[in-house]
Amino acid sequence: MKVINFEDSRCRRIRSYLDSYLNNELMVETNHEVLTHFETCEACSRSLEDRARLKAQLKRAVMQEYAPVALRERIGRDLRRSRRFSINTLSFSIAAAAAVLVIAAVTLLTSTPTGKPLSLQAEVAPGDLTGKLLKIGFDDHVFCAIDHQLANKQFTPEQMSEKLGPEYAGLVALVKERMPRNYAVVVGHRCHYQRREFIHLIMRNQNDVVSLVITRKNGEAFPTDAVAAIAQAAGGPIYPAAWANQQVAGWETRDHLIFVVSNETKDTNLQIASTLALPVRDFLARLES
Amino acid sequence: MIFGQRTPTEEFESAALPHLNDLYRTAARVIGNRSEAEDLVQEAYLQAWKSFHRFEPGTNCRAWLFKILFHVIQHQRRKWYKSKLVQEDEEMLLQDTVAYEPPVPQQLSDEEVLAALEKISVQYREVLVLADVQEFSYKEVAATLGVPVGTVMSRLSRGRKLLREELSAFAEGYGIREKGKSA
Repeated sequence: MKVINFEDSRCRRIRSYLDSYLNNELMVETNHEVLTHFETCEACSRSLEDRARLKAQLKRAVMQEYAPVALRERIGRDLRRSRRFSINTLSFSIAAAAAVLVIAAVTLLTSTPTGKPLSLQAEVAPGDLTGKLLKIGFDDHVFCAIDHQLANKQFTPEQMSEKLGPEYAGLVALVKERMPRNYAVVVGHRCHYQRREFIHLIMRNQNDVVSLVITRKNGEAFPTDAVAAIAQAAGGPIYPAAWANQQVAGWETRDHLIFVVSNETKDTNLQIASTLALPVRDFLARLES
Repeated sequence: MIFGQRTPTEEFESAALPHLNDLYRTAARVIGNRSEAEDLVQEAYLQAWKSFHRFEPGTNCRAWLFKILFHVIQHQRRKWYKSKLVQEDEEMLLQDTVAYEPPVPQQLSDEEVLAALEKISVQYREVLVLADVQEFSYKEVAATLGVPVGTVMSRLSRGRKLLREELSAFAEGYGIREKGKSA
């Protein structure tokens, strides 16, 4: 390689700045020095022009290329797919005696929509107050456990205690004791969605995700004449709904709304809700007293 | 994190998908293979979506996506080549850059520029594309590639020099001769 010797050491220094000058990365003082030098040095000015031209040529050439439409479609498919959880029917025997009553009640339920196309949007008819309340728990589950994939996390017991705070930390052990044995409590935290705070526990097994979602009432209450209530055995009515592949069961205390949301079957989701309903009611009643 | 009325998927799509062309053309130049670039960009978007809950709205989504893309590229590159990249003495190269400036013809086709770019080692190519094409700052390029800013500067300088050298081969075809070189 032939090396050009610059007699002027100033030119040598200025040229060592040219790359950074071109990228606007020089200090103000150095920038000024370079500009001043250009006024008297045609060779360095030409060198800069040469570099600037090459940079522009490179940019023009690379920018000619565009992502194929097929790639955009593949990414879109990925996004849609990642929002779904597989529906795997899992049978397990539940220990709680309350479940027996719930199972009987479930047989009366014939109007809950299931088997709709997969879409995690809840549609509630105008005037359907029960549906609106159940959607609160559904939305937080979808937002937090599914869309933000908290269901794939594994918090330590210490993390859960810290995130839930002393008031609600005891829920973890309470829920863990009563969930089917193949479920683990993976997340316990507080989250926010649509200007509400939620106490959120996520339980999962190999294929399924269950959320226990609790939020303070904001003047709401389930309608007392609701025909949708299907179980009285667990210390009060439980209200079910289903949107897409997710089942929701909700109940209330004086100050709280409580929801169990999962991709389990309708029966199983209600079994879990009825198992948790009474102990969670008792737990919250202590806080409310 | 509250996203208002839009779903997280809609938020992600509106924040991330406008940068698809930039990510793809960058991956295509760095990898040198469009099909593999498509796979890597797709994987980068999937990873970005999975970690979107950690992305803070209002911060630089483009820089965040490029960082993920280069993480995917570097991971894949290790799998493909199973060997370390050639490490060069960049301080030496920087000195070298100051002295010699091969001429570049003014009339170059895009194909010639891209062909010259493809001949340059990947560690220089990626800095050239990020700094000169995508106009990232030195600091952003350093964060994207996980290298010090000084390394970005020396690689950019060296990369430009190598590109000039590759393109200078075209110069002879255009009848251009550097002053001081015998014709």
